[in-house]
Amino acid sequence: MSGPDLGDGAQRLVPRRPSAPDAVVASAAMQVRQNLVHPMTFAAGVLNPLMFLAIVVVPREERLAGADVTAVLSGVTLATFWAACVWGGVGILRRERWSGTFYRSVTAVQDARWVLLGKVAGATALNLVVVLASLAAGSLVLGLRPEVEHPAALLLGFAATVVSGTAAAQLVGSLLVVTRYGVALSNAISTPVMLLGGTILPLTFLVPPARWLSRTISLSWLQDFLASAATGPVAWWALGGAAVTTTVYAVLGWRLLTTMVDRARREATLDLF
Amino acid sequence: MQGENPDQAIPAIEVVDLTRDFTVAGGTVRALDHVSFSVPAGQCVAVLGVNGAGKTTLAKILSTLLLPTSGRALVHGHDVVARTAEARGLVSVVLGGDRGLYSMLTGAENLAYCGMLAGVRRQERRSRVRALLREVGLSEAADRRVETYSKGMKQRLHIAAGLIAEPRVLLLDEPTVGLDPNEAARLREQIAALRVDGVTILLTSHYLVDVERLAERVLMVSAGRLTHDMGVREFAESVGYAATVRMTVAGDLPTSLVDAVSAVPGVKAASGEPSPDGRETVLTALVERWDPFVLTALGAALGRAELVDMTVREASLDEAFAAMSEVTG
Repeated sequence: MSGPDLGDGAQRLVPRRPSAPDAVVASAAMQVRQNLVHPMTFAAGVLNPLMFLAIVVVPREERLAGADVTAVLSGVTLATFWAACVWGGVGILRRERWSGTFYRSVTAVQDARWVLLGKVAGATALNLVVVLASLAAGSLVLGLRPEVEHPAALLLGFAATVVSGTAAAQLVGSLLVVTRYGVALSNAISTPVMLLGGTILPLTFLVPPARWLSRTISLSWLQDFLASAATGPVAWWALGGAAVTTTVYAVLGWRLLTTMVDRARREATLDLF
Repeated sequence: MQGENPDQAIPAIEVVDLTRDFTVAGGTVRALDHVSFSVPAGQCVAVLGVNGAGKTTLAKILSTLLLPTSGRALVHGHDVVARTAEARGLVSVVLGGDRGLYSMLTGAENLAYCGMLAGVRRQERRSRVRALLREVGLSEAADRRVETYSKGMKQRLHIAAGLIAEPRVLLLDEPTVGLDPNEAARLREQIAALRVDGVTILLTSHYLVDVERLAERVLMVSAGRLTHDMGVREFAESVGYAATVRMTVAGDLPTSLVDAVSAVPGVKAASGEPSPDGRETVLTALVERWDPFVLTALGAALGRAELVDMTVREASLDEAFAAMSEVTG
């Protein structure tokens, strides 16, 4: 590999250069291809949401209708999607370490942060598509007809959910890059996060200090926004809250990955080969 | 000077007083201890040492996977710590083995992804992937998932992944381990071809046939220290003898015959033992040099003994390595 001819007969060595767009797109596409054949995609994206839906809807004596259907569907979407994201974010790095491929990202010309972002974004987008498709199918079978007051806002909410899920997964993945117990830790935090996000119990059931804490979880803001998009009026303040918390996750996750990887390079705590 | 590449004056690899400590329960382990050497561009160097000597730690630091505790490591003048991005653009590490590939993706997808990671632009990636798969003999398996590949095929894919960005420095960690002799020979040919392109190769291997066929220089590492730095020929000769000559003569072994062979100039040591069927005697002589004079002298020493068979085997690198390892402890 020689660099440009400098006109005096000499050629200089020119290292390869990174490209953030290429890293993100190629990593996302690669992760989607991997996840499409991974059984957890089926478990988290199909079984989980259908199970949630069935538990909420089937045992009822009276049929759900209207805004209640939308509330149930958006709640189930958020809960199962969030669980899939957290699994995805940590799972990506865990599988990379287990399969011995993580060193490629860490020693790459491409910035590892863009690579991880691409992978997480690809996994997150696929998760949402699969969850929504499963719930659409489930709704058809169960005869559920959601009523959406503001469909554009609902779509915006789902888009915000993908962005927020990506940022959260990147943050969680970065935090756990130096530990072998990533799966266990992510499982441990998953339920409290869903509780604080209001997807297990309504936030009004939480004691006031916990309710304040729930506002650090973007899930709680998204829950409010999606519910308002379904029933109106649209709670734009909730979208703002989600944007702020998501931004914090994104900044923290971005800075954290390099810090954690450099620390691991110093302390030799990456099981890479 | 006109026509001279100024970058040729800079060593491809330069290691200056490199030290790496690891913290373990109960204290610190020094994996590399003030190691210094340099490798000019285009040279193939083998790094030898017993397990735990520090070879892999050295490769990890040069590939930017590990940070050194102190000292410096440079790739074509770029410090692996201060100018990590530039160093990564010039060096590639091939670890091999069953791990390190995405088993649910095809060979072509793996290679394309590695190309992206290595900074190969999208426009040239496709052609590079095809060319490399052809070069390593994986064209027909390109669209199969890596989980269906044999060990040898995975190793070839690893090599292809290491080459996709046309690195100037290639770090090969045990490249032929686990391969059958045919696969190993094929891989050595591919590696040998890289030297024609001026790629600098740092090779760690337990198989001294890899060293013999590929390397021109040997670095011996022991307990984190660089103990020897010599040419391969010099390394082979360090065993103390150049060849082993086995002469089978008819009949019993007279002591005087062994003494006569031992006294031949150029013979370091000689011994004799009866053949398994007891009808012949096998004389073994370690010769410091193998040339027509030694051959003639041995023939004269045998006198009237009837020579039934004679084989000459050059001293192997395994013997040299064993001898060196004994010396360094």
